[in-house]
Parts: sequence; C-alpha cells; structure tokens
Amino acid sequence: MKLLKFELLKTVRNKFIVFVVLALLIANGVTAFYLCKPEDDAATENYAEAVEDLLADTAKKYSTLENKDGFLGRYYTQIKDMYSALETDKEQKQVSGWGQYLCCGFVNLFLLTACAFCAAFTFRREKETGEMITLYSSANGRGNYVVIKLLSSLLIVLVFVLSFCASSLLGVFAKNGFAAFSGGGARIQDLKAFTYAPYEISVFRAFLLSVVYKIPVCAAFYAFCGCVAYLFDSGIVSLSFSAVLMYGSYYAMGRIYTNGNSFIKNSNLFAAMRSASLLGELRGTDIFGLCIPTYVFNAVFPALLAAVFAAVFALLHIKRAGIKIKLPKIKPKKQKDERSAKPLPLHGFELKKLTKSRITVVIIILLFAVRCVVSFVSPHFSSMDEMVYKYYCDKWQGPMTEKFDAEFLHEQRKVGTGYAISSGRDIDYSLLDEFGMDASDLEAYYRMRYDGLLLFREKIDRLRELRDRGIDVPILYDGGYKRFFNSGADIFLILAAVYICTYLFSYDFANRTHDIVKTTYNGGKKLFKTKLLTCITLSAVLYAAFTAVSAVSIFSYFGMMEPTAPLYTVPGFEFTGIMPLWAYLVLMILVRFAGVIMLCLFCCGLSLLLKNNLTSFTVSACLYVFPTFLLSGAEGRAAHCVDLSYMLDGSGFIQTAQSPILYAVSVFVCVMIPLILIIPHTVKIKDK
Amino acid sequence: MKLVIENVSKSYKQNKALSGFTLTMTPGIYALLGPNGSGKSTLMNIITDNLKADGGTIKFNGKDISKMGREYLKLLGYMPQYPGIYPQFSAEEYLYYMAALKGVKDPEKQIDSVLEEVELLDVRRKKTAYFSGGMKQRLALAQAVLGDPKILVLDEPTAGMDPKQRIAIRNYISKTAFDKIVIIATHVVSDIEYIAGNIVMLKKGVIVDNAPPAELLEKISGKVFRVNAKEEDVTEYQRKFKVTNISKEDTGGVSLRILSDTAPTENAVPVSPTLEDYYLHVFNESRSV
Repeated sequence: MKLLKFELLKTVRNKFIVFVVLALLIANGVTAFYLCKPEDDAATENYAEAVEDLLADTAKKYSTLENKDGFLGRYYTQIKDMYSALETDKEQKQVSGWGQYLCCGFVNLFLLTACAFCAAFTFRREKETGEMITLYSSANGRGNYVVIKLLSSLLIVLVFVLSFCASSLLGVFAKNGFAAFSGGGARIQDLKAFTYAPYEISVFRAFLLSVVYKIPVCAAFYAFCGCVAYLFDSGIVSLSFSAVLMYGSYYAMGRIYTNGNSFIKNSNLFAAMRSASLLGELRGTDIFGLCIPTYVFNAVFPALLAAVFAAVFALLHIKRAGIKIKLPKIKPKKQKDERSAKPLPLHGFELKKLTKSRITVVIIILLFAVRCVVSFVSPHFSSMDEMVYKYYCDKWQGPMTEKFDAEFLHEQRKVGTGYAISSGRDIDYSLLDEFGMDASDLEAYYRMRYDGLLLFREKIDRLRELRDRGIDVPILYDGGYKRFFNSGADIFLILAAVYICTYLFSYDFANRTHDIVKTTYNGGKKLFKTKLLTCITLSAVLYAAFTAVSAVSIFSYFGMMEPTAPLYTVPGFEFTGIMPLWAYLVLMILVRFAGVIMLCLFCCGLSLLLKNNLTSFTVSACLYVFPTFLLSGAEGRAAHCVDLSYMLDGSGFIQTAQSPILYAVSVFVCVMIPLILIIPHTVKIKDK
Repeated sequence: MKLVIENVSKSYKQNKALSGFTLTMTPGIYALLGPNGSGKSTLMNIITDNLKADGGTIKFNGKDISKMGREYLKLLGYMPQYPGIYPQFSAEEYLYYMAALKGVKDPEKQIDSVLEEVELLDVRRKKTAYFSGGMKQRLALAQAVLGDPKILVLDEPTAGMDPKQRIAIRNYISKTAFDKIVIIATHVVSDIEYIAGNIVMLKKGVIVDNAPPAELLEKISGKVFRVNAKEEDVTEYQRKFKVTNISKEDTGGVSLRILSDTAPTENAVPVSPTLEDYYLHVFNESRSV
C-alpha cells in the first residue's frame, strides 16, 4: 500500500499534469454547459406508436428480403423480443439537457486527452530521470513495481472518469437546474436521440452506465499511452503518437468510411466511448452467421485492448528487471559506410537532412501510401446517396428527352415525395445488392434512395434552367468534380507538409546544432531563405503528387464530365455564373497551392517560435486539423476563418456561394498568421 | 590581430553574469578558468555574437564586431559545450555541410586534413549516430577549425575524451594557435596547464587573475606542502587547512597535500605547486572529500 501511495503521489505532485487535467476538467464542464440545449431533448413523437411502426416496418422489410432462418430473420426476432419487453404505454416525460450530453463526444475527448497526458508524462519521467534503474535495483522494485504501476494507473483512470463525469454533471445542472431529474423516472426513450433504444432504463441509470463503460476504455487508452511513453522515452513523442491514434483514426476513418466499414469505425476508442452507441444502437454485425450487436464490439474491444497493453507493459518491465523470458533475439545491425560525400549547395544539404532521416522518409512514404489507398478505396465507400445519384445519372445519360421526363416522373412517384423513415414502404430493394449495403441497416438504405433522388432532381432542375438560358447540357455524372477537392484525405497532405516544415526548421534547435550554425557566415538569412525555399519546393512536390493521386483515383472511378460544361450543372455548387468546369479545376488547384504555401510559412514560423520539431508538429497539426473537426454548423464557419486547412479546401467558397466577405476574412487570416509568425524572425536575423 | 573586450557587462534579471569585463587578446591561447556560474559561457556567447551584452564593446582590429556582421562570423570558429551533430550525416557530410555554411571554398583538402588531425579519417563515412561521445567532440572541434578561422572559441573541448585523445587534441590546438586567438573554457585544469599562454580566472563575472601559468604558479611557490599523517587525523587537518589531495601510503598512513602560508607541521615537506593548487587557492575550494 505504501508503494501505491508513493506511485500516486508522483502524479499528484506533478504540477504540469495537475494543471493540464484541471484545465481539461474546466473545459469539459463548460462544454457540457454549452451543449445541453433543453429544446433538443424532447422526443417529438409518441413512443408507443413509433415503436409499433418501427416493428411493423421492420417485419415487412425483413420478410421481403430473406427467410426467417437467415441472419436477418434471427436479428429481427432479437429486436422484436427486445421491444416487446418494453412498456410502451408509459407517459412521456420532459428531460432537459441529457440527450446532447449523452451523444456528445466532447467529454470523451477531454477525458482521453487527460489520460494521454498523464500516462505519457508519468511513465516517461522515471526513465528520463534515471529513477527506473534505482527502482530495478531495489528488492521491492522488481515484481511489485509492475503490479503497483498498473494498479495506480487504474486508480488514476477511475478518478479521471469520475471527475470528468462529475464536471459534466455540474455543467448540465448549471444549465438546466436540478429539475432536470424531475419525476426521477424519465426513461432513456424520452430523449429524442434514444427513441429507439432497446432497453428501458432511466436517464440517470443510462448516465451511470456510460460512466462505468468509460472505465475500461480509458484504462485501455491509458495503458496504451503508457506503453508508448515507455518505448519512446519521450512524453512529447508518445503524446503525439497517442493523439494521432485517438484523433487521427477517428477523424480520418470517420470521414473516409462514412457509410463503410463499421468495424473500423467501432474499433476506434473515441467512437467506442459514445454513449449513443452503447444505448441506442440497433444495428448488428454479421460474423460467421452470428448477429452480434454493435455495442458488444464496443464493450469487448476496449477491454481486450486494456488487457493487451497491460500485458505488454508488464512484459517490458519484467524483461528489463532481469527475469528471463524467451524472446526472439534481434541481431544488431551492421554499421554500413556511407557513400563518399561531395560538396553541395546549401539546399542540397537541407534536402539530404530529410532524405537521410529514416523516420522522415518512412512517415512521408506512409502518408503517401495511405493517401493512395484511401484514394483508390474511398470512392467505393462514398456516401450511398451519391451512389444512387450516380445510378440515376448513368441510367438516363444523354439529352433530356420527353421519354426521360415521363420515366423520371414515374420514378419520383415510386420513391415517394412524402418520404419518412417509417413510411418508406413503396421503395423496392433492388439497389441493395448492387451497392453491397449492410442489409441490417435498412433505414440508411431508405434515406439513401430518397436523398440520391433529391440530388438528381436538383441536377435536372438546373439543367432545365440552363436550357432556358440557351445552354444545352446533357445528363452526365459529375460526382468526380465535387469529390476532387472535397476529400477528407487532405489531412495526409497537411500532415506531410507540416512534418517536413517543422522538421527542417526546428530540428536544429532540438539537436543543438543551431548554436554552431548561427555563428557561421551563411547561417543567418541565407540559411533561412534556403530552408524556406526547400520547404516550399518539397510541399509543392507533395501537393502535386497527392493531387495527381487524387485526380487519377477519382476520375478513373467517377469519370470526367464534359469539362466545358458550366459549373452550375453540378448539384451542391451554388455558383450561378457560367464558369466552365475546367476553369474551376484550374482555379481550385491554384487556390489550394496558395493554401499549401501558407501552410508552409505558418509551420516554419511556428517551428521558429517553439524551437522543437515534435512540439511544433503536434501544435501545427492540431491547429490545422481540429477547428474543422471539432466545430460544425455556424461555429464551424467561424472556425474556418482561422483554419488554414479550409483554404486548402477553397472550393467551399464557390460550392456554397457563402459570403465573399467571410471568405476574404478567411484568406486574410490565412495569409496574415504565417506572415506575423515569419516576419519578426526575418527582422531578427541580422543582415550580416 | 587584436581582439579587445572593453567593459563588457551582462545581467540575467538580478544576477550579474559579467561585470565590466575588460581584456585584450592577441594570437595565442587564452584559458578561461572559473567555477560554475562565473560567467565563462556568457563571455563566450557574447564573443561569438550569440548573446547581446548589456554594455561595453568588443572590437576586432579596431572594428566593433556588432557592426562587422557576416565579416566577423567569417573569422569565427565555435565549438559549444554540448555540440549538436546531425546523426543522419556521416562525418564527412557534416563537415561539407559546415563548410557550405561557412562559405569555405574548395573544402575537400581542408576536410581531409582536419579529419586526420582529429583522428577521424578512418570513420569519415560512418554515420555520426554511431559515434561515441569523444568522437562527436572531435568532430565538433574539426568543424570549428574548418575555414581557418582567426578566432577560435572552444567550450570544454576535451570533455568525454580518453587521455590519449586529450593529449592529441591539446597538441593540435596548440599547433593551430600560432596565428589565431584561441579562447578555451574548461574545468579540466591539466588541459590548459601546458598550452595556455594566458590564464584568465573568473569569479562572479569579474577577472580575478590574468597571467601566464608560470606567473600564477610563482604566486603560491612555497605554499604547498606534503604531510604524512595518521588516518584518524585527516579530519582535523581538513578542518584547519586547505587539503588539496589525500592519498593512502603503502606504510599504512596517509599523505596529504596542503595549501598553507606556513608549514602546517614540523615534518611538512614543501612541494612544487600545480595550477590545480592555484585554482583551489583562488577559489578557496578543497579537493578532498
């Protein structure tokens, strides 16, 4: 117990960790307060009727598709049993604030960040300060150390989960008052987001369940961050690594596989902690003919992760502690002689620094490879309504004839203009197999079919409008143009460019070579200019390569529409001027290139300011990626003003025809921030 | 060739690192000696133009170095206390890079000769990531002398080297110093005892002594004694005198080296003083534990 006490004291007395955790706790409370909007919580429809409708629809749909002995039949029976057990005649109650809170990922974001910080810095510290060796040499330090470390980690996780949930509760209470629990027995189904939740439990019990559920997830993440910190020997490195895992996978996978691979989505810790998945998920996954509800995945995955990482950590320590474990021996690498060096111009050496750094090369190749994979895979997993839209475009490709008008009218009637999830009975299921959709998620199929038709109708309306203006454009599929600049995979280009810039500019500081370099004849402005030019050139090359990959993959899959057709023929593009598609392509390539240059300048300036390549990389990546990721809607548009990645996606301006002033502000900020960072440094470098 | 430091001062908040420092240097080796916090590194940073002085001037051949700009940097070779070296470069590549930064024309010949002097010619194509601490120090010294700088500033140049390398580097520095102003900061007194033309002793940012080693040793001539004593009496001697060394004798007793104005005991034998004795004499420190 004494050892445990000291182990906990190590964390409690670390001012940095305490400060960060407190800041996150406050942010968490404030976010909960902000998000708990009472008006969103009231369920809009009668629960009993809604469930009856749902069951009736589901019965019809499943019976249409498969016999009762198949997977879907069994799944339907399971759902039916769940709902039958619920009392559906209860009076509905008003509960304030809880719906948004339980669905919201922000609490998880803050909680996981706190875990990442604490794990990275507590695990690293002992190795850095040399305490680890002392611990190993002590009699108690060997076996007990591992147990105590894991036990203390679990306790810290427990405290974190309880504190963050308590701070969220405070936020909810502050906004809605204690009356939020009036009646006490409000059911989870009374919340709009959980109308179809399969279990009848109270809102408060649902909250408690979500608290308990967070513990194994956080424990898994804490153990993972600890292992990373132990392996990397550096808090910053491990934190970056964990952040990439935590946010990166959610961001990238979430965007790329919007309607695709549910396993990837659910294997993500961030997604796994969503209470909505735990409480309201209807979907199941077919594995070897068994219907396994998604929340089982969500629960099992973190628990398994926790066990694996705890085992890895224990193994690493036991091995270091001298206990013999038979592990495969790795032969030490032979030191190879490098090629004979030759004098090069300065930019040659700057380039060499990058190409000779194995980790840099691996990171860039990896990012490029992932980008390629994503480019060639993601179109197939693109949104289903887009695929329906493509289906219609291909079906009626060519000029708009009277025959087309008649067929289109019939299709509209068939799909039904008064569509709603519970009344989409007239839709045929013929497209289901064609799109390879998850048959258990029929709601999504209905929505897709309807949305795709709406999108196509918008296109037809536009073509008719253009015909009235004297421009005859045939029906052609144009999805590629939209996707070309709207890809979430931009994140890989951003990360690659940010890595190169931060590496070149701040590595000298981190490596202490700057002390020597700045006393040399060319170590001032000339070197600065050389570095900047190298960064810009490399980023431009990367941009060209990434854009080429994107173009090849998207246009080879979606095909290219007539490039002289007006931009207005593409649904979603609000720009009503007669700008041809090719002009839009050229314009966007230039705008995005300017965005890349600004990104370079920004990263360079930040690196000079922070003087540490890892910190600069983490901060730059966060600044670039997170504003768009974290905020949406109105807040998102405001965030775009300070979000350079938005400038990369400059098509937003033309697509949405948003306020030119807002875009001008965005561009101004995008240009000014890098310049503000860079100019003081250029002035500081004496013109020697 | 003359480097004149006039009335230079520098403070870090309340602490005065240098206070009215004045020194004139001509070609030769100048050793800066002093305890931690005496202002050695601050002075070196000011000389290398990495740090701005609060007051005073540094002039090279009558020109203010702050106004000379890049011309001054062309004259400078600097080896910091913890030199950073690119691990992904080989020794040769690193020197080519430094040569490009220093604007050295035709660096091939210089690099070969410098690598030979610092005994790294055999490993010229090895990545510096595989270098030992001593090898990195020697490579850092090699880059400092590249381009034949007129002012060579070396901060702890022999740290991490074995005795053989230490002597080799000491001799190399001595050899290159004929037409250069070499400024060495070190804690290892023996490194500069034989090669330094002048020893500048610093204490709290002020020069407490500045003279050739022989002149400094003369000041404590007849004040260093060897005393044979019993083991149990050592503590008493330490309390009364500055004991600079304690060694065990084969006979069972101990031999003490004592700094004292007068003979500490009747059987005390006067011995020749070393620079280390003088250092302890000035800074009032004892080497015994």
